[in-house]
Amino acid sequence: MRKYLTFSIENNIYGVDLELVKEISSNVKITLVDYISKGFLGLLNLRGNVISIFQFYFLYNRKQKFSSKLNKLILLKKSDKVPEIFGFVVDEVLEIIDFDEEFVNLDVLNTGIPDNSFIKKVICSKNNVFIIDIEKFINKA
Amino acid sequence: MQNEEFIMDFVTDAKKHLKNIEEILINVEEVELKNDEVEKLLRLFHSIKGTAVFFSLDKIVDLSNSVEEVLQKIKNEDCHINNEIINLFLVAHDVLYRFVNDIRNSENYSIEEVIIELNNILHNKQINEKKTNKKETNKIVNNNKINIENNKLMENEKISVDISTLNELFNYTGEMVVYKNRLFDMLRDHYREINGLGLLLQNIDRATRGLQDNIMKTRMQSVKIILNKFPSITREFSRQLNKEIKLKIYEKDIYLDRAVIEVLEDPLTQIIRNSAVHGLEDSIERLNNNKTEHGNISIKAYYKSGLVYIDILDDGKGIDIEKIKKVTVERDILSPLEVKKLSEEEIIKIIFKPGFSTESNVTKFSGRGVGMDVVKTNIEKIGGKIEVYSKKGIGTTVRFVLPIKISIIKALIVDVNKNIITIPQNYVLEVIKIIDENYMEKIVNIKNEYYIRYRDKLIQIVDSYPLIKEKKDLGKYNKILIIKNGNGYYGLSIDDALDIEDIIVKPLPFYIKDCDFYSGVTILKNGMVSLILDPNGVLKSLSQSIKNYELTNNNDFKEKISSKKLNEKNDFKVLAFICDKKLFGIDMSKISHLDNINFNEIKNDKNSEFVNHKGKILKLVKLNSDYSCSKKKYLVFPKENNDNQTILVDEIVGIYDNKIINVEKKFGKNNYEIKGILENKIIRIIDIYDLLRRQ
Repeated sequence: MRKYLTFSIENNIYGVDLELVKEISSNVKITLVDYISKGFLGLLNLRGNVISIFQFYFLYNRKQKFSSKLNKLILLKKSDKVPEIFGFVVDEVLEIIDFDEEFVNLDVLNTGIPDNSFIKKVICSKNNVFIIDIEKFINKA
Repeated sequence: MQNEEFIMDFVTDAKKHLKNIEEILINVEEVELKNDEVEKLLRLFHSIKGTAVFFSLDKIVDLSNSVEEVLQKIKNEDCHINNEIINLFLVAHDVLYRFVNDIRNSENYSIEEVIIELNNILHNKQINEKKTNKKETNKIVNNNKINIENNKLMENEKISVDISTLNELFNYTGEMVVYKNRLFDMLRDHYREINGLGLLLQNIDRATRGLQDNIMKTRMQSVKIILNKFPSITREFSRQLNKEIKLKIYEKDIYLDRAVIEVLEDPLTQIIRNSAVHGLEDSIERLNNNKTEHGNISIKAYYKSGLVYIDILDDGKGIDIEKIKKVTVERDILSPLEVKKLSEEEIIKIIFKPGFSTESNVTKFSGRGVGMDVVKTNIEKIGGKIEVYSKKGIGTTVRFVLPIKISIIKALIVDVNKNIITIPQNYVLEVIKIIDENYMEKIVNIKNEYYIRYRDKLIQIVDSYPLIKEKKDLGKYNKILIIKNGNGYYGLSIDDALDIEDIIVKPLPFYIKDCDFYSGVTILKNGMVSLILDPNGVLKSLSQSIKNYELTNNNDFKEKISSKKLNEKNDFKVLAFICDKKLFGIDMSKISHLDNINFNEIKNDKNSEFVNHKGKILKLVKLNSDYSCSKKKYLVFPKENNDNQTILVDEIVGIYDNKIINVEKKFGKNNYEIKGILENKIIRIIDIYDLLRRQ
């Protein structure tokens, strides 16, 4: 059994391995520096540490509009997959789901999302949940 | 031991006193001891003695007492201070320091030697002894006073705190500021509803500000803290090696983060040891080489381009390149062929290789080859760089370049199209307002590149587009920052300069490390993160754009000559411009400034043309007969312009540095011309004075 934290972006549901998650924060102000790269949104002061914040909207060829009131940030902790703590903006944080690895649908083609190159696998529960390969996502953004 | 706690207090206090003593003694090495310094020393030694008496630490008492007596004599002017005495004081200081560090065994140390020497000083001057006896009583009376003053001194003294605690405090303060600001935001509309809220918030604001400012200070330490250790370390080397060494320290208010300070001591010691052991020759050899008998080592610490530099210079024999080469080959580090290919600089770098040593014998001081490699690792660990310069027979300089990363710098906070960007203040020369009315007077458009007049220079303005990826016309910006770095000046367009803050530079987050324009990030007072501009990085992109500057719009230049064969270069800056569809150039150093006029401003009088420029009638000098092709013209003003002449040109192309290749010097009818090639176009370089004379 593995736990995933799910969240929504543009009505698609994505998931990230819960073990990677450090915290969820909301109502924070970030310094927008979205000119650094296409997936980069800005920098957050998290208790004295400067954290990079990414966004997913570049996948939809749209500009992320960030509102500290509406958007939430999911922060991932440092691990072998994550060289340094970072966060990304989501429209909504949904739930934590349990899933047996054996029910995982590995077919990531025809997923209906604009870019599936960083999707590790798809879990079919109520809806399709696209589990993100964090390393690939970082490289892409 | 029931006194345990008190003894520990004594140790802490004594260490503090000893530190102060050392500071005074080190600084008086060259000069006389001033009266107040003698007083201070007396007080410090006395306090150590005073407390030591309680714990029956007899040796400490005896030693401090002996020093005190000598000091008293100096104070009464019965005895002249000399190097020997100061050295002796320092020895006493060192012994006391050892005692204090190992307080339980202090009674096992021997102090006889020092005491005997101190007594010698006392008794050598027995002629004056009678006077002293009288004053002996005074001394006792004075003691009460001293104690009172001592209590005052305590108020300013320091306690030691764990760095981790300070770091926590630092982070908490940062958080607090963010929360405070948010609280203020939320309550903004309710000030009137709750009585006294406004005042309360004001007080909270003041308190958090004060808290933050002071917490900032706690992280920083003067580099003096370590540099002041080196006189005694050098003295020790000097004694053991039997070489006379003079150490000079140049430092002015250089502050570094504690983390850097802590790491610095070992590398510095190692470098000074190297200078003392390998660098400096013995006195006979030195005299033979026309050098001073004593070896000289100096340490210089200074800020430069947002970095802290620490140079360690010696005037010894320099690094023996040949010896390094030999050892490198002998130990199979590199093949003889590889060694041959290396430049001197690269060879010097070999000394940083682990295990490398040119000494065949391992001595107490060196030869194991762990030195330079460790120095390098340590300096790199704190994000620094190490450079070595050496001239055979003249000396060696080792330079530590420590990053601004962990140190505090003053920075200008600017607004560029609503992006808040931080710029290290030492790069910023001036902020120039360019409001609409005088816009044209300050800014010159030369071939779609904007230049700003600054003193007697035309400085190119860099488009801030690459920084923030948002296009905005220069005219819509309010101000221009004049930025200077090692290689030159440039202007940067900004909307506003907001504030100057002391900032702590943090490294760029991992994910944006390759960003050229920024060197780090910082957290501003309001809790927001801001990127720190790297003026050098920006300049890199600027020189790129100048280099790629093509005269693409001027198809008239059809003459193309291969420039490969011709290498002779002009070594002056050239202003290139177009007249009558031909490309001309003038040595920039002979030009005072440029301006533009409209064609209809030109007045005709007989065969000459004039223009009224800022109330002055100027005669136009033309390089071509037909000048009616465009409405807008440019004026080039020569320096030393006594005849009020100005040169009329059609179009300004740009300013070029060292890029023009001479083709031929032409004599005869137009002998003021030198023909050259600029980016595959023929350019005629004109001697401006010659041209003016011909008019």
